Amino acid sequence: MSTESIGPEVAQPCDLAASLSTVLNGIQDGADQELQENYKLLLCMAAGGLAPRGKVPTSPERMQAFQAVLQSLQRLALPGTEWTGRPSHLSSKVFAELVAESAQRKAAAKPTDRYLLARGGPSASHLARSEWLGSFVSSHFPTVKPTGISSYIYYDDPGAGLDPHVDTEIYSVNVIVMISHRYVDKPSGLLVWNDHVVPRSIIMKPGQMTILNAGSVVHAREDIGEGEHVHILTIGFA
Amino acid sequence: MADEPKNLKALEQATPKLIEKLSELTKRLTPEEKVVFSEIIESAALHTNVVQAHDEGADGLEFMKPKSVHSTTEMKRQYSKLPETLGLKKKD
Repeated sequence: MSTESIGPEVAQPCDLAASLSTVLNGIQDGADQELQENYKLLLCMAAGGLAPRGKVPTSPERMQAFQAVLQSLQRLALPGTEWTGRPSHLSSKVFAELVAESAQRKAAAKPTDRYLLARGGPSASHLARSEWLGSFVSSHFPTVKPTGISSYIYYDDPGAGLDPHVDTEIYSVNVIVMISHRYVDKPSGLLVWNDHVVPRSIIMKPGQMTILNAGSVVHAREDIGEGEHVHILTIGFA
Repeated sequence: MADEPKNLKALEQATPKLIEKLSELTKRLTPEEKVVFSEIIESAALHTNVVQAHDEGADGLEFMKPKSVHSTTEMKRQYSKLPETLGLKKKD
């Protein structure tokens, strides 16, 4: 990132965010896992408050704050590389089973924030514990193992979505499978902030998945539009 | 399989340690850093209030949305009070 000097006594925005991130990182010195989780939760809450519904922060101070939060979370990142696509091992038959299970589980889904949430069923659990998925995820994030935990998430009403956040330790790496996506005009995306306050938007087709460093990379579900429906399966690795 | 997550009680017991570290950190910041840090803390407090309370303890963590909101009511209360606790609350 290039920066332009604006005066000797005024810190550059990026420099200020970086220096603050360095100071914040000191919180982890000698910290146990519970303290680290608290620290991460604080950063997660800050991300959601600084960029509500994925909107870019409005003031320079809030931009710097968001940048500092992103950089602080990046310091917690597991080694690995994000990936999006359809793995060859995800057969049409298995995917059809997930689609059917998603539809069936929706009846028992619980309203949570601005979406519906349901526990993964046998098909999702089978995929979550499958040897091929474990190997595939390990090829992108070598240090993680399957948690065997999965959830279906349903965004069905206009305005449904999920604010910027990072995931719990059981989803340190999150395999997000697009189960179904219907839209009228423009599809909403999975918003991902790596190191900049402006996010990338990932649009997945049904059957595709994104393997995301979700415990340290801020991400969100963009608010869905009129007539849009997004159903996903999330599978945890840690 | 990966290790099970830590329990909520242990997380709650660690919250005062975080606040203590944040308090120490606040004293070391430059005025410019403090302005930005205040935005982080205010935003975290605000969003903690906005996030609907989701009583995770009742259902267990295994089925929870991956979003990092596994916390107790007491943790949320302390997070929402952070600007005051750290002396960073903006004057009305």
